[in-house]
Amino acid sequence: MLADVAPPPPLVESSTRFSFGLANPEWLLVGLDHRTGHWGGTLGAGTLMLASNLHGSLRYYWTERAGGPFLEAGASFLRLSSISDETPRDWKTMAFLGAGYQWVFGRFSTTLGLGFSPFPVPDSTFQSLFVSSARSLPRALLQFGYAL
Amino acid sequence: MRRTPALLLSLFLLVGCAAPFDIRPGDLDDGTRAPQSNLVSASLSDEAKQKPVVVAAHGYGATPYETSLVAEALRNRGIPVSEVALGGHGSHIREFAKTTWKTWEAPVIAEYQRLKAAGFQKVGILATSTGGALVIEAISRKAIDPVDRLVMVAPIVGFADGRAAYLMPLSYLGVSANIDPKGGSLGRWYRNRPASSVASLIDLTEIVRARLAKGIQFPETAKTLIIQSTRDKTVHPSSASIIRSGLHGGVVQVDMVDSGRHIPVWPDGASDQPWTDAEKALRETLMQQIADHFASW
Repeated sequence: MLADVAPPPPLVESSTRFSFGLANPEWLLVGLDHRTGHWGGTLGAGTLMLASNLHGSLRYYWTERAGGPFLEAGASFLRLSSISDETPRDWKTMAFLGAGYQWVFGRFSTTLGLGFSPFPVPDSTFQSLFVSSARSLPRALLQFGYAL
Repeated sequence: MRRTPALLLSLFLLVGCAAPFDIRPGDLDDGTRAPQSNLVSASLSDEAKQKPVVVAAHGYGATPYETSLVAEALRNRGIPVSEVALGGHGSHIREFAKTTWKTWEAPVIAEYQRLKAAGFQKVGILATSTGGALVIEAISRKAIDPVDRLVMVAPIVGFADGRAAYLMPLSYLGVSANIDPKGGSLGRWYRNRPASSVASLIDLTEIVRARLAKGIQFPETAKTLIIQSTRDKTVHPSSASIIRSGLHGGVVQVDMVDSGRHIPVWPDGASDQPWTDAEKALRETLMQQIADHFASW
């Protein structure tokens, strides 16, 4: 009888999820979202077609169980798409801080986040339209994930 | 193998089904009323070549009508003006959609170089909106010399509409930058603003910002006047100070005017909103200021 009892679910979440969604400053994004215990992180790529980015963040989850609230800090490295041969192709960096909540339903997850407006590093008078636009909005995240 | 047709269909739906252009009677978009440039490079005498002459460059999606009132005011002060139609402007909207900022810029550079080659010593530039960005770009790479007299009205390096950065993905949801020209503006501004052309405009502003960040050197004798409406809904008012920060040498004067008009020196017909007495008075003052700027050379 004891052998028929299912083992209890793990108390410490450990998962890697494929994720996609919308965010500021990551834009239309796809990536990976990993977590072990309290700590997690994301790596991904995003685009607005005229510009694209690579981004990553570090998350601290309040509990060790699946889902729940978290704090995050991250950065987005963006570059303009090559629209003409004169288009500037240097990388620009934005950092962001925020908080969020993740819901987990089996292998699926939904994550919402909000935070301070992203800020360019370093700042410049001649900032790109895409940096200025990201800075004018709060950090925001809507992300859907599927555990691999 | 079955996935390939489905993938191709998805791509077609995403990129192949562009919304048709909205072309109405009287529109510039039908390509039948292309404006002609009114150039002075071939017609002026040797005597005139020692005096100031101005090349006028209008904005995106517009025609020389945009600068026509100021051009008339300059002529009344004895200053000849070459009113240049930007490249591709006036062609059918399908053809315009294929143009880039390089196409738009080419006739302005060509007229400037023609005037210099003909022996004109004092070639100044008047530019509105995108014309300003085009001129800055050309000056930054010496296609046009850093001129001694430059006037820019609402030169664009930043957009007042915060959605500009998101236009490409939003365009798939039906968001467009199209306008509704009426009255005097019908047939003088494109109704349709193809996403490809807006993308090129954004590219131009990014290039100009990068060039300004490196600094654009003008001679110490140069005088540049930038006029910017504080309530401009097209160009972000910060564009003026950004440009000033990037132009080195000479005197750069920024005149922020209390107006909601994108170009406060437009002719009456440029907008279906009637001009108030205060706006007309401001326009007269600005035209006088612009004429004085070139006449002082």
